[in-house]
Amino acid sequence: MEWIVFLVFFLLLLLRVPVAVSLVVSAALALMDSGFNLDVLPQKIFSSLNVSTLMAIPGFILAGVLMARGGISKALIDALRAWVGHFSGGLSVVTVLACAVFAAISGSSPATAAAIGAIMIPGMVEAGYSKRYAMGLVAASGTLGILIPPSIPLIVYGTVAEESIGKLFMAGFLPGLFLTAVLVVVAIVYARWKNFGRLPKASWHDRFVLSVRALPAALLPLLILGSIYKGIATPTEASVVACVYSLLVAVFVYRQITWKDARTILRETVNTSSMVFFIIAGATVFGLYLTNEQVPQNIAAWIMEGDINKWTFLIACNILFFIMGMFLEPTSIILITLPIFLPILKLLGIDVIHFAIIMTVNMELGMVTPPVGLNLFVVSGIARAKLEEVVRGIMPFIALMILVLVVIVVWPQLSLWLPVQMAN
Amino acid sequence: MENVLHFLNRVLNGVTAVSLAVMAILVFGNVVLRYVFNSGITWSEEMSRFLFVWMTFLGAISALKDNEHLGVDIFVKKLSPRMKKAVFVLTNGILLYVLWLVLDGSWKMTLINMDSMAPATGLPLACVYGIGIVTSISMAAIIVCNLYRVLFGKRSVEEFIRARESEEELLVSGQQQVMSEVSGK
Repeated sequence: MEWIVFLVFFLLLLLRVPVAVSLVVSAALALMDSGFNLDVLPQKIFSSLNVSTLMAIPGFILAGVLMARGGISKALIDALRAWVGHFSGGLSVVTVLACAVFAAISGSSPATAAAIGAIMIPGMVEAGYSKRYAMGLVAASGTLGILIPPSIPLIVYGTVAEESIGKLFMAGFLPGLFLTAVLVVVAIVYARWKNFGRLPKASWHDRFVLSVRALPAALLPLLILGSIYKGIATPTEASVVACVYSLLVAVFVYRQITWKDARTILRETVNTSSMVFFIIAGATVFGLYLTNEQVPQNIAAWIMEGDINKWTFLIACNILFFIMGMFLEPTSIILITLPIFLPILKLLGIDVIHFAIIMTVNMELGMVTPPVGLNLFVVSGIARAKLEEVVRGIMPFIALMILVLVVIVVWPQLSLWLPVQMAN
Repeated sequence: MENVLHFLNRVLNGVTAVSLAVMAILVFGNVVLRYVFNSGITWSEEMSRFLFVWMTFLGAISALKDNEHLGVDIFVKKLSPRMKKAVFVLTNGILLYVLWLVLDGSWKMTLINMDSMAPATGLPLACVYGIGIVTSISMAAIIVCNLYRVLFGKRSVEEFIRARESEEELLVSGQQQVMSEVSGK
């Protein structure tokens, strides 16, 4: 029966039925077959949304929109250019670092790629970088959006796994910095090898002026992460504080947003958020089916019988996530697979927080792999280039990200050290 | 008719935007009150959760209206126009079935909870479940309207066949426009 349900789900997906509806229909048909009363479905849907932690998602989305529209990302890029633009590969480094800082505010990969790429791709091409390389770098660096906290997929993961979102955020921090460092090193080495152009060295006066101008923007990640890490605010509260701060900075410091923009910004945020929650509602119904039919327990029993060890399971998971990432977006993957995997993780002694980071890095890979790698479409749109060109540009970075994934899988301490320190 | 639809659209956008704004104000207000005045609004957490539920359901109507479902369209894009039309009718039929499930359940939940009050705000819980009725009826009306347009040749099926492949695609489309303006300056 399980296979039929998953088959129906994927068939509906192919027929372009929305993900949320595909989840509800495939589960509802199976539940009806087992004589389940479907009257409880709306109650389940309501209770799945009536959760405080999920309210952090629109908060971080709104902060990201305000940051992009409020000229905050441009101020950051200008300051970074002044400091490292004159190095060999300086503009590549600016791109990666700007994406990392933006990632520490927005929690979304495509939003990060869009905001930074729109400024950096033309700038890099102008400085003599190959367009293909510039597009690949932006698409890859944009994926930091869901690894460096705050991260929308990690909020969803925490809600499903009933794990501390603060801990999950801290777990993503060092792997995020590690991926940033790897991208920076590769960017410098590649730029030196290809002898790409540099920017003229900025004066100390310019550096000072631009740094002061970027300071309000640079303080935002500290405000978000600091308030969560110190226990001053919950992730939901931190997201709202970030919104208020972004709004004040955008209106009074950079003067880029007027009251006229408010309605558009709020509507953009609502539409984006609603889509996430619509899937969460659908996945709750699917979860009801999984629980009712004891699917996770059956799979766990099958694993025990097959004597599958931790490493075999992790390799299988990585392959599965990589394939799913080609077709689905992060929220869907988490909501479909995590309820099945949670009992197995406990069974095999895999840390739930470590697994969250493994999953997230796989989602990052999904963002840059065709046919539905959204960062590729975003970069293609910004750079006005063919999708095939972006795909060619991203290929070396995919290999690089797979190496980073391997390191994260075999070295759990990279993900777990900060949450442990936080607990102490 | 167009004026009425335009007005309803503006009301919908207004209500969702206000829900988000009030939700943010309540949460932020509570943080400020807690750390500055060592107090808080007792009902703010519950109220913001209710607003959050309303925002999500109303946002789903808006997303359907603008054809911003989250879906995968790599297969359907390759079909012939006639097959696309058939798939469109089938998928919308499935959507109507799901909306019926939501409407039926929400109606029952609303009736059951008419006299139940939320502990902190004192609001009838029927207000929360009632949004399911509003959403399912509104979405069903949009779907029936779209089906009529496609089946009777008022609109091309191509206009409806495009699915959003990520929730962030919405966000990005707005940001691309703004950022390209910024970089062009």
